[in-house]
Amino acid sequence: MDQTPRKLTGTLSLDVIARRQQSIPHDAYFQGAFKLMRPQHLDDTGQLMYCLLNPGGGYLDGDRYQMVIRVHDTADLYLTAQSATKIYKTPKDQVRQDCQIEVGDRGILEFTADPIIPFQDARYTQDQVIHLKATSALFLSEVLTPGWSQDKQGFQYDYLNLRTRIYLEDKLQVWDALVLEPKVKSIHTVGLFADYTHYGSIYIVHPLIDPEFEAKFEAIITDNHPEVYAGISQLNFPGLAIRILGNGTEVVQATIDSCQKLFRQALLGRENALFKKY
Amino acid sequence: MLHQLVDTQFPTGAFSQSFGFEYLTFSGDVTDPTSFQNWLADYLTEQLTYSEGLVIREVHQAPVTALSQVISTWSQALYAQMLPKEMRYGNIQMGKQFSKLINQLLADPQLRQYQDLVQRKVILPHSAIVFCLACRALQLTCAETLTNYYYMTLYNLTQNAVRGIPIGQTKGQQLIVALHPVITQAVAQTLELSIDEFGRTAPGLEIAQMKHQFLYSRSFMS
Repeated sequence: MDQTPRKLTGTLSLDVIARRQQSIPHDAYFQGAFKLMRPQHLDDTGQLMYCLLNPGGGYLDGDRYQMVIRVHDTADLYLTAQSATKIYKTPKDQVRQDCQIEVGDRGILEFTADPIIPFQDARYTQDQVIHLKATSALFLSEVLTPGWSQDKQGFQYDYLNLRTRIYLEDKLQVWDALVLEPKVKSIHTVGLFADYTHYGSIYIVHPLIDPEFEAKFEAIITDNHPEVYAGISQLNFPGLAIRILGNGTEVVQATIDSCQKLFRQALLGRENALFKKY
Repeated sequence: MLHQLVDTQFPTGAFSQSFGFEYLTFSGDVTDPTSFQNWLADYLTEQLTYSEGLVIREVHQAPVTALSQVISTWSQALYAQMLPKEMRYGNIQMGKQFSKLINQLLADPQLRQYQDLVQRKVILPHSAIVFCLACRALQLTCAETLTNYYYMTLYNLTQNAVRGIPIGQTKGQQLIVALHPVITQAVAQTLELSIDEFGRTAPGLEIAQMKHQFLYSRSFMS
């Protein structure tokens, strides 16, 4: 993979700490194509909420993005993004985004990235490395759309690599790589996307997760979202991986929203409904 | 010895693993030789190559002095990329039995060292690494090792499909023959893969492997 140093198109560095009853930004730096909206406390839990913007509108040929998000001990952050990550055609060099996440002891991070839309002839690699403690809580979600092309068929991009690695107490516990080359091999085979077009992924980590919680999440997906094809499994440690295939951003996103709501209610003990992003 | 190694009795317990195809049989997606062959080809080219195949290559090429470190690193990575729980349980069981058994058949210091790492719980056992060490001991090349491993794995799964779907014994043999060029191509690809491609997998395979545990009636453990 291309590791040559080059000017970054966008950088974001965010440190959140706990101060008395609230989480507050200790350091929030962004440059170039990334922008953070003014942080808010949306309820009385003390959770800090940030919305991430990409004012440029989309990722272009050769762009490099870097994000570092640190949720310090006992701090609580909800990071979401606005609109979508659009990757335009990359005739010369792929777009690459590196994201480093750390969540401290009893820290909480909810990170719901907005849909990734790879356009015709785009190449995109996203590498997320997450470091957790045994007492950290995480809700991480991602949506991938078939992208956009002139003939409106979708899946006209060249290469897509979404990689996520999770370390728990410095031990590698999750290595997840979704690599698609739709022009080389059809997406619509039984092992890949079957007859579906949209993909979603969720990681839920919390020290209390056990087979009973796994069954609860499984039930909410099966009962409330029959339109998606989804699987859930316990990880090597108290955590869950969820994979979703569906036809349309809305059905995949609705499944993610249900899971996030259950995560907040059942694991964080927050009865408040999930707040609207927009 | 090699012939015994690629016998479908090995790795022990493979006869009770479907690696997700049983769910697809239940859901109506894998019901005949053609649909099974398509699933099997995806399993090889979208999952096995980037996980067990790549690890076999790395372990096979490791110098003896670095072997236990290489094994320990890749064992951790191998189980980290296996998200479906039943896949992890099934593979640990198979790896454990296979390592124990092969050590009674082959006297090799590396295999003994592996068994020791397993017994001391330094690593989780996996048949791919056991198989690789056995082939190293028998002086097979990396390409030969991969070819035999892919063949053995596909053969085992096909035998399970013959019983589980079911498909005819002859059809089963024919689809293995049809997959020979796919195996050859997968071996060539595995030898050239970048380490960055490790862990690549496909959602359709994984979702079926995850959903299997929720089936009411199951003939296979995964």
